[in-house]
Amino acid sequence: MSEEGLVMTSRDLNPDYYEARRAGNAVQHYINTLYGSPFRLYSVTQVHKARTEAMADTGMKYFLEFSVKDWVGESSEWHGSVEVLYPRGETQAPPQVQGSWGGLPQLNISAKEQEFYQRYSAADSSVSGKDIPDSYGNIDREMKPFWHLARVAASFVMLNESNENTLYNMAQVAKITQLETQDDQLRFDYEVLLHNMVSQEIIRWKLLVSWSPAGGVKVLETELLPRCHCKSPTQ
Amino acid sequence: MTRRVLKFTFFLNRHQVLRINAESEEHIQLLKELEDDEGWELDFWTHPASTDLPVDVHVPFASLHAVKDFLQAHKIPFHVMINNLQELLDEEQEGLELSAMQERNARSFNFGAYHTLDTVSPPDLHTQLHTKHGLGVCGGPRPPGAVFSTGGNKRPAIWIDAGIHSREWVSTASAVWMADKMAKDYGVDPSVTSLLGQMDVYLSIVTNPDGYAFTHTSDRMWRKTRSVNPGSVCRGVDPNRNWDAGFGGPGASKNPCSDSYHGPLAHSEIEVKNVVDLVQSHGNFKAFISIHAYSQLLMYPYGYSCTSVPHQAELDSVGRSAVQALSSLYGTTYKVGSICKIIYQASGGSIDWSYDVGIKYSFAFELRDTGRYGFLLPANQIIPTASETWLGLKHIMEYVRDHPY
Repeated sequence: MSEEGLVMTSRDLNPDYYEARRAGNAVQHYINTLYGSPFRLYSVTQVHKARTEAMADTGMKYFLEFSVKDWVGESSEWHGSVEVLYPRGETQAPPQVQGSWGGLPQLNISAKEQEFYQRYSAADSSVSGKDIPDSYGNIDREMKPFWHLARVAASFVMLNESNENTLYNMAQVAKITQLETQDDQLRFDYEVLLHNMVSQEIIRWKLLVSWSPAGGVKVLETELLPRCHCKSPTQ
Repeated sequence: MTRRVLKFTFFLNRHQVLRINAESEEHIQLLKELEDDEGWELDFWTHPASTDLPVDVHVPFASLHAVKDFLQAHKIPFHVMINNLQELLDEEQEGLELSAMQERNARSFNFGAYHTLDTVSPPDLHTQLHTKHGLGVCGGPRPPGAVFSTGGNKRPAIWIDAGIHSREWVSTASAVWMADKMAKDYGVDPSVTSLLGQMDVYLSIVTNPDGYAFTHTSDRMWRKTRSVNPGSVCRGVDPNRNWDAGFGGPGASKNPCSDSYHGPLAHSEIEVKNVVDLVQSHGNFKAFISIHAYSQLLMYPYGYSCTSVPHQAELDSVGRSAVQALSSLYGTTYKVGSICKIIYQASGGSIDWSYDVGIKYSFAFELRDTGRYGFLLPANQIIPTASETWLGLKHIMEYVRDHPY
């Protein structure tokens, strides 16, 4: 059909349809791994234009024009464009995202971050919690930054797990336990529930997460957990 | 009719109301004389004026024989329209009191909160509505739901189901609010009144009660039914992969532990079979609408295939104008398209089944939000979600009413 390495086919996509929506979702996770914080989280609100090109050797590339905003800080929407390459292969590998983010709205959150960091880096600080939000959608005001932090950490996993057949969202924080601060980084053990809209499965991940205003969010360890059979199978 | 209500304070036992059909001017004259004679304490509800119109007269017990003798003697035809006025008014009064009590109960029902299965809808939602202007609402204990009917046999009907996936709590919570809204608007809103004057509405509020109960007791993220899968520790079947429409095809799992397990065979789940049986035996459903959450989408068939349905253009157009109505309230944005194109190829879905059995206006809603809270939508968003969804749903129902087929 064509020589190796050359672009083969280019196809316009309906931005409302699932191909474009899934790619936009991956971009959202990517942006949050770079710029997310307990006080900043991005959401891709709309894909405006989308196009794919099959790259013979490497995989499927998506070209998107989209809008994104920081919904924690309630920033204005920013219109950006991005390339997403889903690699060819049998095993799962994360999409490669390429864009320039200079225009991304980044509201000043340093005061909030510092205050939060000071409070929880105290020697006796031992935050813990479960079911955030609870079944009724409630989140304690104090726990919101921890919820945001979980979403940022989850974004690393969700991005890693993304392919053309996934649409990931973090459904709930099942558990959070603060661990000893190390190297000036706050550290937390999280158990999060991810929802994959395509398979409709709920997937449990254990995450070891560190954060500081200077260090940003880092996911140190991840562990896939079995789905909870919350009552014994005979019930 | 207002005269009846005013008179309920009097003791009216064994009083009757006679309907008199005057046949000549002479009869009319005689009836006028009867009216003028105060001795018999007759209360003319309608006055003798023309032979075209019946004359209704409330006759106290004491005067009954005399009046009937008079009418018979002059060969004026009549019959007993109301045999015992007191009894009738007692019933009506009871109805009014019951209705007022139910309304008080309903007003104390918190529509802005999530409830357990046992308390999911206002107490006696159906009884409250039954006495209102002849709007019949029948309900059963399980699964919770309501039928809105102003009478007639197997009128064209609209099916709406909520809560088929148990973790989608806002679907059920919205349906409860919308049921109450529909009942309140009947007799008040011209469009709803005319809709229910022509069509019946079947609203299933918790279409998967076992799953819903499980989300309260054990696992908030449970989606499926709770049926036992022989040979597996895992329970439940995805009730929206269990319909006989491309059953067992792509987008459904054959693994009983999967959240999209299609089940051993189509309609194996009682929750699904009950709906199938009802719809098929009724035979006159014109619309089938399934309410889910989350993602903010309004979709039409097919899910099992990405081929366009024959009525695609019309369904798309109705969907878009429904979404416009929905967005008009709070600016909530929805996307419109076929299931297969908007989210994924998924076989065995309810609205694919309904479309393929000939119910043209088949739609599926995915309500708020787009992922921030997802299934765990805060309760303070229930009423806003229900209110905007109602506008979209109403638009679709009005369209169905206005486009009979």
